[in-house]
Amino acid sequence: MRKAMLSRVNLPGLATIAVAIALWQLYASTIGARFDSIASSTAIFSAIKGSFADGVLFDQLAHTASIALAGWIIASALGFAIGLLIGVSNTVWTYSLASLDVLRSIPSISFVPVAVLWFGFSVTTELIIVIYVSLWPILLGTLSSVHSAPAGLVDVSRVFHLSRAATLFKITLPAALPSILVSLRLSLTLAIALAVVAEMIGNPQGLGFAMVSAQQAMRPDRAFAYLVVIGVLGWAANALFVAIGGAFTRGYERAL
Amino acid sequence: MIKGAPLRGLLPLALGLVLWQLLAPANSPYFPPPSEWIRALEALAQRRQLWPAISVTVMNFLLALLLSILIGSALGILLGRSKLLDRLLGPLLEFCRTMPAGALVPVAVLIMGYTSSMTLFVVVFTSFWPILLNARSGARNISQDRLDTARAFKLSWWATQTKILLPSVVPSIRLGTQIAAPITLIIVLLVEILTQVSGVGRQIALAQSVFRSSTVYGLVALTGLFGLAVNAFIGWIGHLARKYDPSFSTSAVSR
Repeated sequence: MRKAMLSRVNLPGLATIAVAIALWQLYASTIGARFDSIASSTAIFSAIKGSFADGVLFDQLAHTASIALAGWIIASALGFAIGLLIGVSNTVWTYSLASLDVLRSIPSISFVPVAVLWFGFSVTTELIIVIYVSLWPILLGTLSSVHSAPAGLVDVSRVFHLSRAATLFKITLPAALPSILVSLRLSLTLAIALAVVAEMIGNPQGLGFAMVSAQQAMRPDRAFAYLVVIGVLGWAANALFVAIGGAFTRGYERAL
Repeated sequence: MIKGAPLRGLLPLALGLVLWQLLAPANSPYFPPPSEWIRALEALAQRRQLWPAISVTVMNFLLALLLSILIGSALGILLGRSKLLDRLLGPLLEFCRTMPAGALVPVAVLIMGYTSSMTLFVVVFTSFWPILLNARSGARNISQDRLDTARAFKLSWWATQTKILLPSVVPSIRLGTQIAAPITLIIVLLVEILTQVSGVGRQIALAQSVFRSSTVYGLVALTGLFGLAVNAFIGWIGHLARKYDPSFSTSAVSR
């Protein structure tokens, strides 16, 4: 088991990252040293260590992560419920889809200034932005996968004379699960990204605000440090979700 | 993405807009009616700020998408054809791929300043991934028959690349472009809103900061039109693909 885990680790790939870090250090201490805007790898690492040591970074990380997570959970529940309603009912589908199609064409980022207009600079603004943006993938993923359940499976439910509820819970939803999981993962990434953006524009707290402050104070070491932290946060959330989601859909390829 | 949406479905949206127009007072600070949006846009146009902003945003979008297609397909084909490179660069690219665009902006501003090349850099860096991923899987799964054909005809290395490999990967690049186009539009607006360098995003951010809500709504509706145009463009590419390439498949590698 452990050997299998080890062989899955891409050692040459990790070595490339190490080389890239070393090359950046070399560049920053030679050519890049002339620029105020470049921070060396070691300066970035010590900035990360420093902000972790005095607890500031941890608070900011906790703020961003918790808002992103809360917004994502609310959006997931809301998006799933609305998507299910539209996907299951033909009437609702007919009389709402085109409207949704137009609304989803509005780039979600445009909503950020509107949210600031409504709620001022506050946590509410940040949360609303996260919810709005991460709602779309789940809503669209749920409604399209529920609406287009594989014909063979639908026939099976008819053969067994399943009730509408039984069809939904035993056939439609399990069949839709993989694509719903994909949209959940997509919107988790979006939730973190938009929490950071919202902190830059609409709520002076958390990682995003700290990063803009570092930039405005001309502290490249801190700005890069936050970039690394936010990158790791996004990457870790994604990896965690893939691991958990994989456990749910094991064996699906064979079943469908 | 969603096919066969009947036009009747526009009814709720139209009804909502009409109600909004009828119920909201013209000077409402939070929900100005749609007629005020148009008036605000006209005022912006009279101050000669609307059309320059639109042209900057559209140019940014087109240029960034073009660069994304070039860089994404080149890198993707390279990684798809070389297992070694793919393994070497895999984790690094995986990390870069999950980097949120917003987080890149402050660092890019530090290094490049508030410039249009900074905008292009951030947009391309965050939106070319779908093209790269699709080009990579296209180049990886190229059929052995086609490569054998090249060998049978004793094609040179260059001829193999341009006559066999590239045409085989084009459908994948097309799919990647269809996914990347809306992302590109979003990130262009994101950078414009965040940095207020130029473009429609800058105008939205400016209007918001002085509480001109009808201008904000008007510009947001305008970005909605951009979004619809991008979606029409994607549909048109798909239509072309189905017309000229019967083997066209719609299974794309997204994120």
